[in-house]
Amino acid sequence: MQTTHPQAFDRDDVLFAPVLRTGRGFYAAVAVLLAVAAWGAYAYTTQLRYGLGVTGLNRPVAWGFYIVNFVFFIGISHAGTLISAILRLCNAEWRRPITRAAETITVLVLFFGLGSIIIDLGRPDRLFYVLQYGRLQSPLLWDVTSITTYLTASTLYLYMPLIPDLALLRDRARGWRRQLYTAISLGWRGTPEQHRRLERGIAVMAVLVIPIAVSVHTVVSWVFSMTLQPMWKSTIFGPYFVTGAIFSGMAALIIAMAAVRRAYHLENYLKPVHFNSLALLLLTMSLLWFYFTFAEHLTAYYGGELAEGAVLFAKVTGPYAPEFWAMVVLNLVIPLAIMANRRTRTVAGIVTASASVLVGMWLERYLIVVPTLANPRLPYARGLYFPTWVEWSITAGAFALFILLYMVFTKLFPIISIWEVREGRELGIQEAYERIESYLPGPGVGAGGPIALR
Amino acid sequence: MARWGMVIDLDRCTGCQACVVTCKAENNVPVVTPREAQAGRLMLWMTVIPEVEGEFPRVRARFTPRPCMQCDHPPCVKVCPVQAMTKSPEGTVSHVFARCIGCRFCVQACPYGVTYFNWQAPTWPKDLRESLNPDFAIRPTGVVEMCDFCHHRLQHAREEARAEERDVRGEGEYVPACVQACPARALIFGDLDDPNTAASNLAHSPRAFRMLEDLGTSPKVYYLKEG
Amino acid sequence: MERLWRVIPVTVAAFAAAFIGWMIQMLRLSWMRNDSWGFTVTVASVVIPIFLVFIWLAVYVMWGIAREGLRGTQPGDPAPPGPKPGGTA
Repeated sequence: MQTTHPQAFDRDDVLFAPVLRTGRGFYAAVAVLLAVAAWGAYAYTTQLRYGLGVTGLNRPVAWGFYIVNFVFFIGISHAGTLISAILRLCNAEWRRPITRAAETITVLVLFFGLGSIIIDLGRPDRLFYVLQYGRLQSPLLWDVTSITTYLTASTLYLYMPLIPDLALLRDRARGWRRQLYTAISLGWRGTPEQHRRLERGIAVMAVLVIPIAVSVHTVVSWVFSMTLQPMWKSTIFGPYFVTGAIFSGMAALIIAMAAVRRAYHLENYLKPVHFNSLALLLLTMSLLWFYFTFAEHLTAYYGGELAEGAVLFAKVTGPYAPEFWAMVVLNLVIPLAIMANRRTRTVAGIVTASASVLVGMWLERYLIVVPTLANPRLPYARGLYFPTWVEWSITAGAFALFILLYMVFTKLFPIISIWEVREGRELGIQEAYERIESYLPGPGVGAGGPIALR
Repeated sequence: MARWGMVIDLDRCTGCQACVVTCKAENNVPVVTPREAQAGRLMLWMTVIPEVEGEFPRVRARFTPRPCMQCDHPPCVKVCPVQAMTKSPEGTVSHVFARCIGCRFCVQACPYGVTYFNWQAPTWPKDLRESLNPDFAIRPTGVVEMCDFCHHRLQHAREEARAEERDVRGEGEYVPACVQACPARALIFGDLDDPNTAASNLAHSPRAFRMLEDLGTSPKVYYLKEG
Repeated sequence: MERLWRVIPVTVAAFAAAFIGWMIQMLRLSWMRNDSWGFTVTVASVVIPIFLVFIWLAVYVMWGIAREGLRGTQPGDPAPPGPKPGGTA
């Protein structure tokens, strides 16, 4: 395969366009997001100066928005690498234009997951103690370990398929960009040996990253379920969190895809069929999420244990009822209503459903963390949690900064994997044809007669 | 080696809160404003929990003093990522403030809710500030703190015993401040492994129970049921 | 710029090696303090092989690609797509 073939350039010009040209709208968006992020940074300096007292945290609710954000961000990170790895391993040909967008979400959002933990610390200046005196009996250290592993793995998994595209960019860009792409494209020339090594690396990582991703959110759930607190101490928390993570991650991916499609005119690459396939997966995850949520709450209800009941009823009928029922509507009713119907399963409909899922999943994380803390096993310290402007600002700042970094990424690197799309065009169609043929009765691969496939 | 434990006789407790005040003074526990206390940031290593049971005319009040339970299987020690929460060979759970990174995992892990977080820099009214206990460190903002059976008192007792080339006696020589202050003698302290101490005898009495015993934390604080 | 082709794989491998070093440090601490040995061994025995794979990735894939790329910048080879058309590498 020739990746540096000059003739092929024109066809995919629109994929290079965002990297090589930048409009005014981009700078306007950057300015707004930077302002929000700066405000969040100001809020954090306030917290650093006066301690966590400036937040709404208290006794017994000693974990709040930051831990919710941590779980949420780590959940979003499952968008990427996990989905893209599964699709790659399944030879799902429709993955080609979406893997890069997904992997980028993963790598960027993981920093915010780790960052949320650091923001939550009372003594961030002693962070180094975790390296110096860390002990692996603490689930927090499991988190540090598995998230670092996941971050390394997904960064490599993002970088490796990027190398051929970097070489394409190197040949088109001028000035400092040319220097940059030359430096990080590792001298890619598309030789057979380079292809062999790259594809082997990608294949190994696609397999390896799946158990790592599953372990990451399982371990995040274990931070809660390793304690003795009511409604946290649950054996299904691992799979429940992983399901929620993939669910929210796919919603984030759909929104990111719709955004780049609109901004960079990629309608020809991110077609309704891609959204449709993802929507069906999202629908499945929505039902799976509901199944887990139902099982989790039914056992707490039926068992009727006092401590669990206090948490359960605080959620279902108590002070957290508005959030709880909003979560059910946002995560189940709205996505189901929109995506189970072929007429509303349009790109706009799917994006609406995804936005609803993102809000709903954030609420789900909130409802896992806060009501349990507010209703501890011994009923002597009961409390509610009202976040202050500091927590709201830091949360808004984190989201703004994430979107900003994502936008900057699309300006530096092609958000659709150019060489993989080309590979699909040049090899994928033939491969898929032969693969389907091999499923059918008759002699082996490639020996088919005129079987009507199209 | 001694296994220090406490027995709390609920029959004797009058709810006077002398233990609460003594503990605050002994361990330099910060004083918070009423507004902060309302927001749930009151710090009381030792606290008396009032409970009103039943309805008029069969109403009765019960006072439950609650120090750290000093579990033999402490969930807080398990989850601490930097070994700031530690259990000594004698079984006492204590917290190294200088090591704590403030993640508050121990606060979540403790089913008894005895760990407290320093939400802001510690403050005292002027008069209290002048009478802080020089034997015990003041905690900075952003770390967790909790009752450790007045571990500094054990250190004093141990030094004296070492000068006389013997072990600390199982009873009387080392008591936490709250035990010393209790006017009703509702708090009894001593070596639970020494069969001759009052504490170990009472811990085996049929009235004895421990808080949330079914969780498997094995507290070293025993309560004696009201008769 | 070509020098960076070597720097990137070396950085990746060094990071992975540092992480393995951290795991070994925690094993050492756990042994010294006689504290949660089982957990430490379990986690370390899962994580260390994964980071060994990352080192393999840095060496086999990244270093390998870079070596091929450098070979392309030698005089006598087919014209490299890099910035130097003359070829005085």
